[in-house]
Amino acid sequence: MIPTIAEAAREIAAKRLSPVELAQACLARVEAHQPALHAFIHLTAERALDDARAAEARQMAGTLRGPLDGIPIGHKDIYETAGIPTTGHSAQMQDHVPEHDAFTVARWREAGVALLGKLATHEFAFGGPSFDLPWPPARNPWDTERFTAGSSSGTGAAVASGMVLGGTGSDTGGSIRGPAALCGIAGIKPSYGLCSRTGVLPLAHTLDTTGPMAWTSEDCALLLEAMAGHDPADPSSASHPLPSFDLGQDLRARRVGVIRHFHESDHRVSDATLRGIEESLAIFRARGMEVVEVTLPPLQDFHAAGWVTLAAEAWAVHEPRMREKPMKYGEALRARLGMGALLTAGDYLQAQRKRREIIARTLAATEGVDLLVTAAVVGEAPRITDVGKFASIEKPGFTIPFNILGWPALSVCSGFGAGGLPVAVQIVGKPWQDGLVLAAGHAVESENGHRAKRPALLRD
Amino acid sequence: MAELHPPLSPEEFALVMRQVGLDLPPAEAEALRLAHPHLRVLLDRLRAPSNPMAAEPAYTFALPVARA
Repeated sequence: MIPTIAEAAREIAAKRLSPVELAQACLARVEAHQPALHAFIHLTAERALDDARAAEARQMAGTLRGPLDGIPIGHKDIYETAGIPTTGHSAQMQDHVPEHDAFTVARWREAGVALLGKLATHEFAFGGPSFDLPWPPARNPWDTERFTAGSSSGTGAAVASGMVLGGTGSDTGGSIRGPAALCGIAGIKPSYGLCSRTGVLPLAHTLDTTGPMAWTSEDCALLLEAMAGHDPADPSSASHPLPSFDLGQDLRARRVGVIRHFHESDHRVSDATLRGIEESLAIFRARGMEVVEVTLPPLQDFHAAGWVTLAAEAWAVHEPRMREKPMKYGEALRARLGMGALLTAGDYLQAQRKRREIIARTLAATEGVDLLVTAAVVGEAPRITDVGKFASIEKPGFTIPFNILGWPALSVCSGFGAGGLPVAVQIVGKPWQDGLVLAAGHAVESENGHRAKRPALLRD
Repeated sequence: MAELHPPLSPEEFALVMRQVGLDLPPAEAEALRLAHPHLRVLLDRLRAPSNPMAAEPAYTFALPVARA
């Protein structure tokens, strides 16, 4: 049985679980499943065991640093790690070995985690799935012919398969919540400004958000609390008191706004996704929460403002390399960056104008509402070979609206579809209500029973 | 869904590529040309409805005639 972080932390604190044995169990799962899943692009087994031995010494001495001490984790390979290659899953940076840890990597290291390695990503968090990079794309543990979503693809696969108990992701348009949804785990894009981006390879500076992914919302809360906090080196980092991450907070009398037009008409989702949303709303009602319907600007407006903003900002980041060494990128990323290159200054400014307009309209439409609910993705994971390089522009996604807004948004497993693969619900809060969002996700997971089911490959 | 514009002609698109300084393999450039109408749908949406000049945040001056 694979423990959650919360369960492992309790057992470690009670001296009933050895951090070294926990790390060894994760490494055994890496050895068994990495050949099929390609979740890691750089394994640091010795570092993991060293970290675990240090945690075990603290366990024996009664000096544990907290609930993450001795917990096996991995970092998406856009997070810089001192002395360990950080490549962005790209030939462009294949030999890059940073001297310093990213701010958030350092925060988790100080909390005592055992680092198993660096996890696959879509190239520079934008181009994938790609089959022409130095490492193959991660595969979905529920069916290795299926897409993990991206860009935090390795973290999704590694957590779902129990190779690690948690890991970092980044979310510019849905790169935490998409893989969390298709891999059947939990992942939160925190409030913009809650977590530092120092030392994380950038994609789009007004949208990029760092955050955690794990098996449960409760685990995400533990991970997020450890990585959140003001970083003066990151201009986007907010100097603001941290929110409460108390999952036991009273949810009664909270008002939930369901954005039906997003998932029922703007972009119709699968029956299983609809069922999961309705079951989640029923859980909220049973907890004494009021469910109302809210109408936001059309999903297509968020899509237009979000996609143009993202592509233009990404082009600004990658323009020098695209001009000098375009063929060192994979084809998928070249294509998407190429779209960014076609945008004009006027296009970008129109996107910012639309963004201001839809933020104002959303704030007005959600007055008196504490949480929002909609889909995270359309349905079950497609075949990995069926994902086109322009798929993200052709149809509006459900995640980018909350990057546009900067609001915290969580994807949790809400059931399984006809193909036996996970589906998800997205729960969203107002800025700095990350703890409330996680508490609502915890309520859903506690009632729906889907956390008891792991991918079949773990039972083989 | 909004209706797609027809793609730019290969000659028009080649000019755009030259203007932005993109040098892609021919097959990739052709794929980008054919996908470009999806981008134009988004750009049309950003400009609809168009704002009157007075709604432009940069419009902060008053015409001399208005002061008279």
